Amino acid sequence: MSLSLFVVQLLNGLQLGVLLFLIAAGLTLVFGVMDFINLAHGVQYMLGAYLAVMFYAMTGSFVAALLLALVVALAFGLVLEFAIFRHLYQRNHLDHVIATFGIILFLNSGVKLLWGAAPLTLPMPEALSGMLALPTGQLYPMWRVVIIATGLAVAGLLYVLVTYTRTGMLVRAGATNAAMVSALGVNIRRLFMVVFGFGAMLAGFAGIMIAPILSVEPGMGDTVLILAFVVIVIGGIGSIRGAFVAALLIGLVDTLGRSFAVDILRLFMGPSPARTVGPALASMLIYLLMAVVLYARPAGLFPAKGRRDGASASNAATTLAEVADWRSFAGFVIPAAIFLGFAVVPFAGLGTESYILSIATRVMIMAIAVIALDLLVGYGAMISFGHAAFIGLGAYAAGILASHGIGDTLIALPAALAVSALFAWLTGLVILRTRGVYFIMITLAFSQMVYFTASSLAPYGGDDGLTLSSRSTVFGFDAFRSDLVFYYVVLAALIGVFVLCRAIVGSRFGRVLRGAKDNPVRMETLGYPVFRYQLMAYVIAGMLGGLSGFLLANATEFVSPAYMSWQRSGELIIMLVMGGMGSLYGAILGTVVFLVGEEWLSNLTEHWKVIFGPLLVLLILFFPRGLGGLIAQLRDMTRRSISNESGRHE
Amino acid sequence: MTPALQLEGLCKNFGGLRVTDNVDLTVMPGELHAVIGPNGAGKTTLINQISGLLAPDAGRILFAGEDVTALPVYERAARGLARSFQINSILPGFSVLENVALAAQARHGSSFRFTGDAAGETALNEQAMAALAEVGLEPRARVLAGYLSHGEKRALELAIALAMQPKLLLLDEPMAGTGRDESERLIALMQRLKGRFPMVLVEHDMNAVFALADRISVLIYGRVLACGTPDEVRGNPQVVAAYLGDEMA
Repeated sequence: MSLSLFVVQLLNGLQLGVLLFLIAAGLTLVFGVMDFINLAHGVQYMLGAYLAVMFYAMTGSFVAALLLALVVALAFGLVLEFAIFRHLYQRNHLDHVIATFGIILFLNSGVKLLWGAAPLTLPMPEALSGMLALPTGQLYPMWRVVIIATGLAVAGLLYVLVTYTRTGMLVRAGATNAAMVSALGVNIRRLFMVVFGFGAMLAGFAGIMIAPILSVEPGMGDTVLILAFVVIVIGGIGSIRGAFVAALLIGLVDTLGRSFAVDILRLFMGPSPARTVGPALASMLIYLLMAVVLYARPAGLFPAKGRRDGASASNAATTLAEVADWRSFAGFVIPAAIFLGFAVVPFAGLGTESYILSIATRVMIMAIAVIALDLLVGYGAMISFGHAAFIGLGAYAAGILASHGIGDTLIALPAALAVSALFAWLTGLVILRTRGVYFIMITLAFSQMVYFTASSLAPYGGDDGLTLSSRSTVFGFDAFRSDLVFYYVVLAALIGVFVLCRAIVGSRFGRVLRGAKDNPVRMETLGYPVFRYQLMAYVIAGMLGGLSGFLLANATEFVSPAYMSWQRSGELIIMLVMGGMGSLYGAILGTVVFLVGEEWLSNLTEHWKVIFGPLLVLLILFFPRGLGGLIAQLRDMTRRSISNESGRHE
Repeated sequence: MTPALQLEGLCKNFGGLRVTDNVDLTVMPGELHAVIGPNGAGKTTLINQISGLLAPDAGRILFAGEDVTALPVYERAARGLARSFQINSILPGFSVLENVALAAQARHGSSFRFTGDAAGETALNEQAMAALAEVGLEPRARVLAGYLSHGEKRALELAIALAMQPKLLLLDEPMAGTGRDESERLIALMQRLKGRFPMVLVEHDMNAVFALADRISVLIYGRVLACGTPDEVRGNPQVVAAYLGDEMA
C-alpha cells in the first residue's frame, strides 16, 4: 500500500464520515430529545437527492435546485412531524419502528412510481467538477473536497447553534430530560417540531450533496440509515459531539477497511484466504466496532450527561402479564381454529393448489420465527431487531451441509439448532448488557454481521445465494419431497413450537421472565439472576428462529443473504405487533395477515408498498395493540369488572 | 453470638459528595434496628449498599458472619437478605398471589423449569397465601397488584418479603405515604413480626420508630451520629439538636 493511495482513501473516508454526520446529526437529536426512533430518516436523505434532481430538471441551476430541494425537504419533515410522529412520541419504541418502517415502504415505492426505478443522476456545478492536485501528487475530485468542506462548516454551525443559542440550550436540556423542560413551561411541541424539521433538512442536504457522485435510486437511504444508527449509538444518543466523532470514525474505518483489509490480512495468512476473509471482515468491521464499544460502554462514547438510560422501558410496565391459558376461550379456541384452518388448506380446493400451498407453508414457517420473537419481545421486553439472523443461520446450516452432500434432517436440523443456539449465546452475552435503544441497535449490528458474512461466502454463492439440490431426507428417505407431506411436517412443527412456547410462558422459568419484564430490579432482589434467565430465553428464541430457517431452506430449496437483511428483521417485528404481542397466537395471526396481505397487494399492483406503508402507519396510530390486542382488550374489561366485584376487604 | 449484619467502615461517594461516611453498624439476631435521620442523610443509599444495588467505595458488609460485599444482589437475596422499597416496587401486571408466589418460588428449587404450570403449584401458592394472611391481604389474592390501593401495596411489599423467609429484612420507609389508620395497622403488623427475624427499619414516622425499635442509629450527612436504645437516643442532646428537635417537642 502506497502513501498516495492511503491519502486518497483517507480523504474518501473523511468524505463518508462527513456525510454520515450530516445524516446522524438530525437522527441523534430526534432520538435524544424526543426519544423517538425514526427509521424514516434514511428516506429523507433519498428524498433530498430526488428533489434536487427534479428541481435541476426544472431550473437548470444547481444552486436553485439545492435551495428549492432544501425548502421542500424541510416542509416535508414538518408535515410528517405534524401529521404522524407527534402522535407517537408517548408510545414505545416498537410503535416508532413500525410506523416509520411504513413510511420507508411508502417513499421507496413512491419515488419509483414518480420517477421510475432506473437510477438518476444530478450533474455537479461546472465550476466544481474539476480535479484538485494533492500535495502528494495525484488528482482528487474537487466535489468531494466541497462535500468535506461544507460538512465541516455545517458541523461548526451546529456546534455554535447548540452551544450558544437559546434553542440550542433547550435542545441540550431536552436530550437530558424532556419532561422537565416541558414542566418548566417551554413549548416542547414547537421545540420538537423545529428539531425534527431541521434534522430532516440536514438529511435532505446530505442527499443533495452526494447526488452528483452517486446514482439516485430507490432504497439509497436504507444502507445509509443503518450506518447513521451505528454512528449515533457509538457516539452516544443525543450527543452532537459524539455523532461527529463517531461519524468520522465510522467513515474512516469503513473506507480504509475496505481498501486495505486484504493487504493487512496477507501479513498473517496466505493470499488466497486473505482475499476471501478480507472483504467479509471489511464489511462487518464497523458493526464489530459498535459491538466492542457497546460492550465497554453500554451507553456509547459520549452519552448525554445525566440522561437516563432506557427510560422508555417503563412503557411496557403497565401492560398486563398475560399468561396464555388453555382454559380460557381465547387461549384454546383461537389457536385451535388457526391450526384447524391450516390443516384444511390443502383440501379447500382453492384453484391453483400448489401456489396456495407454497404460500401457506411459508406463512407457517415465518410464524415459527415470529412466535419465538414474541417470547423475547412480548414476554421478556427484549426488542430484537435482528431476529432474521437466526432464520439465515438455520437456512445456511442446511444449505451448506447439503452442498457437501449431507442432506439428512437428523444431521442438518441439529446442526441448524446448534449454530443458532451458539450464536445466540455468544452474542447474548454482549447484547444483554445493554438496555432500551442500545439493545435494539446491537441486535441489529450482530444480524448485519451475519448478513455480510453470508454475502461474502463466495464458495456458497455469496450475494446470489445457494440452491439446494433437493430437500432434506429423513433417515435417508426422501420424506419431504412431496409438497403436501412437507406442508404437514411444517404444520406439526408450528403446533409443536406453539405448545412449547406456551408451556415455557406458564412455567416457573416463564414466570421469572415475565416478572423481569415488569421490574428487573425487583426480580434481582427476590434472588433471581435476571441476566441468566434472559440469556436462556434468547438462546431458546434463537434456536426456534434456526428451526424456521431450516424449514425455509427446505421449502424454497434455496438460501440467500436476503433472508436476514435488516428489512426482514423489521418485517418480523411488524408481523408480531400486527397480531398483538404476548399471546403467542397473535404472532401467528399477524404473520398470516402480513404475508397474505403482501401477496394479495403485490398481485394487485407492482407498487403495492405505496398502499401497504400507509396501512402500517394507520395500524399503529389507531390499533396500537394489534389484532390480538382487540381480543385482550375485551378480556381485560371483563376481568376488571370482576376484580371490582370482589371488593375491598375493609 | 454472630451478628446478623455487620457494616464495617462503609464509605460511598457520589462525585464529590460523601453520602456514606465510614459507617459501622451491627444488627444482632432478632433485633429491630431503626435508622433515622433527616432527608438526604444517606439512609436509602445505605440500604441500597446492604442489598447490593450499589457497591460501596470502601468497607465491608458481613451478613451472618460472611463477607458479602462483592456479591451481586441476587446472591445476597438467595442467602436470605430481603428488602422492601420506599417506592412501591411490585409487579403491577401480576396478581397479588403471584407477586408473593414469585418470592416463594425463589426459595424453593430451581426456576430453570420450562414446563409445568407455575401458577398452579400448590406448595408455592399455600406459602404465598400464608404470607398474605399475615398482612391481611388474603381476600385480595386474585386481584391484579396494579389495582391495589397504596396502603395495600405497602402491605403487599411486606408479604413479598415474608415469603422470602428472610434471615434479615431491610425495610425502606414501609409507612411512606400511608394514612394514619394504615400506618397504625402496619405498626401492629410489624410488632407481630418483630423477633422472628432481624430487621433494619428506615422510617420517618417517629411513632413507628420509637414503638418498634430495639436500637436506633441516627444518620446525619452519611455519618452515624449516635446509636443506642430509644431512650438513650431520645436523651442524646446532639441528636435532639440535629434532628429530633421539633418532632419530639
